[in-house]
Amino acid sequence: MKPSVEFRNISKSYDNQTLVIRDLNLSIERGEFLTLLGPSGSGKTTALMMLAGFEMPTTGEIFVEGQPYSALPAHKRDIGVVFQNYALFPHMSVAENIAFPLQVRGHGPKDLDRRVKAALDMVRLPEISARKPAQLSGGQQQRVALARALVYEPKIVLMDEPLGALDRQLREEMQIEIKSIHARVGVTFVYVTHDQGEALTMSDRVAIFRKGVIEQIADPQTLYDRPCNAFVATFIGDSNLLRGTIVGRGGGQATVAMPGGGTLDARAGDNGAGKDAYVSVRPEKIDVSAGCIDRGVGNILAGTVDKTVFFGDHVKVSIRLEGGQLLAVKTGTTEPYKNGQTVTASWRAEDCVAFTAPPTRDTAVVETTVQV
Amino acid sequence: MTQRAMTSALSLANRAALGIFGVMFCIYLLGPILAFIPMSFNDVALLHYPIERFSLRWYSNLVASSEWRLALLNSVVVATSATVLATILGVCAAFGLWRGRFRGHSIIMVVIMTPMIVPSVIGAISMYFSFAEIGMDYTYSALILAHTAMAAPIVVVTVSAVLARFDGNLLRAAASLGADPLLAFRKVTLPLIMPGVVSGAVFAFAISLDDVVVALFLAGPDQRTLPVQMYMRSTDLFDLATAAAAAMMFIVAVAMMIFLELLRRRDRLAPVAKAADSRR
Ligand SMILES: Nc1ncnc2c1ncn2[C@@H]1O[C@H](COP(=O)(O)OP(=O)(O)OP(=O)(O)O)[C@@H](O)[C@H]1O
Ligand SMILES: [Mg+2]
Repeated sequence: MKPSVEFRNISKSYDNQTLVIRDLNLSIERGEFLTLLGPSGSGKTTALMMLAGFEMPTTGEIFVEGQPYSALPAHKRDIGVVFQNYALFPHMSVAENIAFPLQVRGHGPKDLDRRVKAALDMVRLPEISARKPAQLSGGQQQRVALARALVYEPKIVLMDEPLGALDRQLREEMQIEIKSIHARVGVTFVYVTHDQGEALTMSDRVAIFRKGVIEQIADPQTLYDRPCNAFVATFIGDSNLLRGTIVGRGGGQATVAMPGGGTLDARAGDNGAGKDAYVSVRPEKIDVSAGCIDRGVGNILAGTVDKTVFFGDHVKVSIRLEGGQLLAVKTGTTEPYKNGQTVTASWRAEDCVAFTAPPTRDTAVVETTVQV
Repeated sequence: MTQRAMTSALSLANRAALGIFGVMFCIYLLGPILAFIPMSFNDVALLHYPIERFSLRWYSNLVASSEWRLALLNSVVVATSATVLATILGVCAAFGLWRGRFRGHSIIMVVIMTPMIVPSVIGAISMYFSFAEIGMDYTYSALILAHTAMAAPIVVVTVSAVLARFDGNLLRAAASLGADPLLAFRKVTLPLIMPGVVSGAVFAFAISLDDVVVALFLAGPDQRTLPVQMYMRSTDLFDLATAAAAAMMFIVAVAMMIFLELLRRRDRLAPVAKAADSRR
């Protein structure tokens, strides 16, 4: 089966000088929920706008179900779009907004009513069809925009940070809602967000954008457990990034010497040949115990407690390692640690990855990305 | 007297002075008109007060005279046609300027505005010679085209003002929903910029109705508009039918002002704002 969407060697420049998308290759399966995630200015919106037909790729071709789409005007694409500010027509009622794409397609009044009603039911807003958008709450406007983008059964639905303007609780409700609608209608969703939590909970796959390039595209679990570089490791979830020197390599493993003494065993995250190592380890994978006990489970580093913060269901302990680097640990134990107390941090070799490139190519690497 | 009483007395004096000044300024602005118009109800053909006998004879003269009837009809036809043309042109120009972020954008804006700034006698003479050159002088078409050119800029101004508040994302949304650009313009843009279109049209109508200079040059006896007729009659055999015509035009002008004000108020209550604004 042909993929629903395919970006083939797509590059985009707005000013004919800088490329905001660089040689993008991306294939999206039919019915997939794909999220584009990345820092501000990384080209997520640009990629979406090219798919919607509002921007032309500078080079390359976009295929939708095997058809080249780059030259097709937006109104012929049959792709639903939910905008960040919703873009509901302020002079039309909710029902008229939702009926708009159906009227454009020449549906009869009976069919129109039935479908508008079904769409309003789907987003659980049957009572407000006569209201104007200005009389709706943000969450309701969001739902109406979603209903309008789905009512004509487009092949693909695009959403550019659709929940960005909502408060946290409403955002979480809408995440579940959008996800369940996706499961019911089964069309391809391409979703853009800043929020990595949102990306992980909603998506089948997540594409991590940076500076116009996809750094990694994978399902959330893989992305979290097996980031392909230090940027992805620190961008998705919390991660420690320890600096060291590679002293041994082989069999997909790397041995890293720490500046304060001791060595770490880690998975080799990339094939770089450099000596510098950036070892990524998640705070919740680390065990901490008082004293200098060697429990014989993989990596062990000694340090002193720098700070402890209580979060209710967990405690975050910041450990100053020998050599000065800080290590954040997330632990469920309620064992009280005193500042300055000597502790041992340990984790399994398979829970950490050694990269040879820093997370950002042009700035100095931050010692640790987790602030306690 | 306490400090406070003194300031309030002062402010009372200030307010009284301001009030007197305001009234005098209004008399200065409107006095001549308000003095002239009541004479149209004088039975005697004399420009002086007091009015000796109240009568509507100048109004019935006006209606009875084929010359005045023709002038009135000419004005209505020319102003209406020019308004329709100027509104269509002005809306297209404003929308095009709003859409396109091309170089020379501001130069085009200046060019469009020129007819509003150039003294009308210059425009009138140039148009007279140009139309004469192509054999179009003393035609309705020439007069209508001239008034259209004079009135279109104000439509561009009023429509551009509402477009500045128009959310371009709405057009992208319409396109994504399957509407071609023309349909999107008709169903989304036009209803939302309507207050600007209507006020532009009212101003355009007023500009055409107001014109004497261009019409003097371009109109032959058959195209003579109401203002030209009034001007002619005031300079030769004066009768108070001119005052009656002035009264009627004054009422039309006041009605248009009231209409614009009502439009402005309605617009403020239901602004052409982005739906998103209510969210913030
Ligand atoms: N219409 C435009 N004209 C010129 N440059 C643009 C335009 N739109 C975006 N850019 C530039 O392209 C780059 C990518 O922008 P884009 O909007 O795609 O980023 P994004 O990943 O969506 O960011 P954000 O998370 O902030 O929305 C940015 O450097 C931006 O300044
Ligand atoms: Mg964006």
